[in-house]
Amino acid sequence: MKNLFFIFYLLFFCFNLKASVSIANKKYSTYLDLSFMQNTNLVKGSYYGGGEMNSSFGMLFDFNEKNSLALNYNILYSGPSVVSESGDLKERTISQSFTLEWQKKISEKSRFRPQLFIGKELRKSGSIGDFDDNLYNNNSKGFGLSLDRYVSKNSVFVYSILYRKIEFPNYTDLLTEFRNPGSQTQISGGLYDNNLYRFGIKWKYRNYFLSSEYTIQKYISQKVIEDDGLYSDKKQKDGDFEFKAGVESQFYFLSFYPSVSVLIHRSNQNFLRFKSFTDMYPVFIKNAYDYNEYYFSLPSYFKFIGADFNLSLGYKKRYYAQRPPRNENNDYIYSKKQTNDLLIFDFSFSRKINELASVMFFFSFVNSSSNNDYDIYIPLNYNAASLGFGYRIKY
Amino acid sequence: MEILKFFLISILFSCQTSVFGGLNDKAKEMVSQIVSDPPKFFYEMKNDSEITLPVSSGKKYNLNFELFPTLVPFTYLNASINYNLYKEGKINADMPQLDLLAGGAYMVGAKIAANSSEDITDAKFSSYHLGFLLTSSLSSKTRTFYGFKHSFLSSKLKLSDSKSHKILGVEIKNFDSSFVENSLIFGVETLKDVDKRWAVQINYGLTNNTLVTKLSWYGKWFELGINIYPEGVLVIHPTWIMRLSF
Repeated sequence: MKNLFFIFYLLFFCFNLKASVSIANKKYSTYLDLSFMQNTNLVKGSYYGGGEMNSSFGMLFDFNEKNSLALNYNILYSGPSVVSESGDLKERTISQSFTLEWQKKISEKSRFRPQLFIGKELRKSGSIGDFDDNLYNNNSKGFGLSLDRYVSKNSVFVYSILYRKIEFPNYTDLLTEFRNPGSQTQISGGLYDNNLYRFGIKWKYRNYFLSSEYTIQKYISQKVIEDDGLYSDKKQKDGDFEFKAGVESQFYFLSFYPSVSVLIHRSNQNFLRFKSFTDMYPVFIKNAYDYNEYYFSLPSYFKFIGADFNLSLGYKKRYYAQRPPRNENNDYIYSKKQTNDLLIFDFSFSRKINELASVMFFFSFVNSSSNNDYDIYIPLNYNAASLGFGYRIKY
Repeated sequence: MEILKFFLISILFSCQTSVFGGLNDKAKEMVSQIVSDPPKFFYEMKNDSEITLPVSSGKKYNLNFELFPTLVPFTYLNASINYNLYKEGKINADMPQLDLLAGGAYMVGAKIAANSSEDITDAKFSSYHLGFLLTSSLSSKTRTFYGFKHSFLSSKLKLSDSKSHKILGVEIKNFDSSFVENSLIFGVETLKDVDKRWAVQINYGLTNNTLVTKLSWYGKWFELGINIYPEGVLVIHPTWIMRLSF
């Protein structure tokens, strides 16, 4: 994978060797969007630093009226934060991706966009250690096809298909290793590898949009655990259906972008809860990963004294279909089903300091709560605040 | 204005490492981070002196000496040279500017500490870097640059065996190892005024996944900068560099 990325870097350099062609004759444009933020976070009385660095470099070639090529390289570093849905708040990730997209105008009202993608994600759980050993490091590659149909001046439909092969080279058989500490598992990595397929439709009409996406993830090796504590022959399969709707509206000097979304996640995987290494009677929870999630977001924007102000309120509610919550002793409460709530308030303002750069300051407040009190792996019950500053260069 | 920016950033830099309560815990975490991978920490200090900016138009080379924080307080004697091999568009309009980079650093304080301290019996920190940059004009005032850099650091610390050595309760052990990093460089430089430029760049290390963003404001003689190491021990490094262009 490193060799493949290095080849893409060289390709990128080669394309940019042409950048010194006379500016007046250029049929291409380059762009650079680089932002970084440093913040201080407060969670449960404990302070820790965090930050984010996001860089995108790209080129757009216009070959003629009907054909253009877009190249994009993105590197994103995400440090400790106050919101995390898949891990600890202090987890760090470095993601890299290359995207190559051809844009072909097939008629006055239609445009076809095939796309190639390669990506890599590295994770680290704390400040000590390196990025190479994390269980969830993954590589992905794939392609996408999109068709834009301009039905009228104000209305456009986008149909899309996406495929990704996602590989987890470090992910092993955790259940077997847990049961037999020190054993060498037959699969030393790649147990979580899966093929992801996504089909989507989006409609944009004036200031409104509606979108719907269906995603399937088929795991290549990961099998479903059954109530006898053994793996069955069935392979794990996850499915997501997501529906979103939103609008952009203006009220005097204030712009609003409210949106709602509904996500239905289903998986045939089950969960086996071991209270300790010596637990002889693990608890089986069927379809433990099925949930419905509802999200409402209200971002707003206004300009004042030469600065851009952003205010945003977001609320997310997740209902697990089969999973009961646990108390602080890690015991299930079977009379209920687990629910999670997340409230996020963001405020930021930024100001341009020259033609390319702007500085920004931001504040975030998060309230996360759940009827699951056993949240030692993924924090669910906390209030958090984050204060930081950032810098952005856009060309 | 640059001086004001520098002091503002220095204050923010200080705040990043010692803000609010939990100072002792934070300091212990920093010492633990250094002890777990000492060459990586010293590489970050040395990396501040690895100047990866294009040679200015009309000049043949830049000679750089980092005064803060590499020389003071870390006592790294350092120098780096950026040599222009090919000017943009000189022979072929399509060809970008090509600069070669090289430099080295040696920590004189390490030898002094070894000679004068009973706890330290031997210490040596030395390093070098080599690389190249390609620079292309996007407009009359803006250039983008891309490049590659190879960095090597050798670090050695030997402590006396007569007692255990601790800082803030964290045990310090001997180490004798090297750190190699091969970094890709992307950046943009903008001309602000006559002999005044500012630049921003990303250095991403392929070997050890080190990541640093460098902001620089430079004129005829000096450069002020902020280097941000999101995974570093000291996240934000303000820098002050003397540069001579010929």
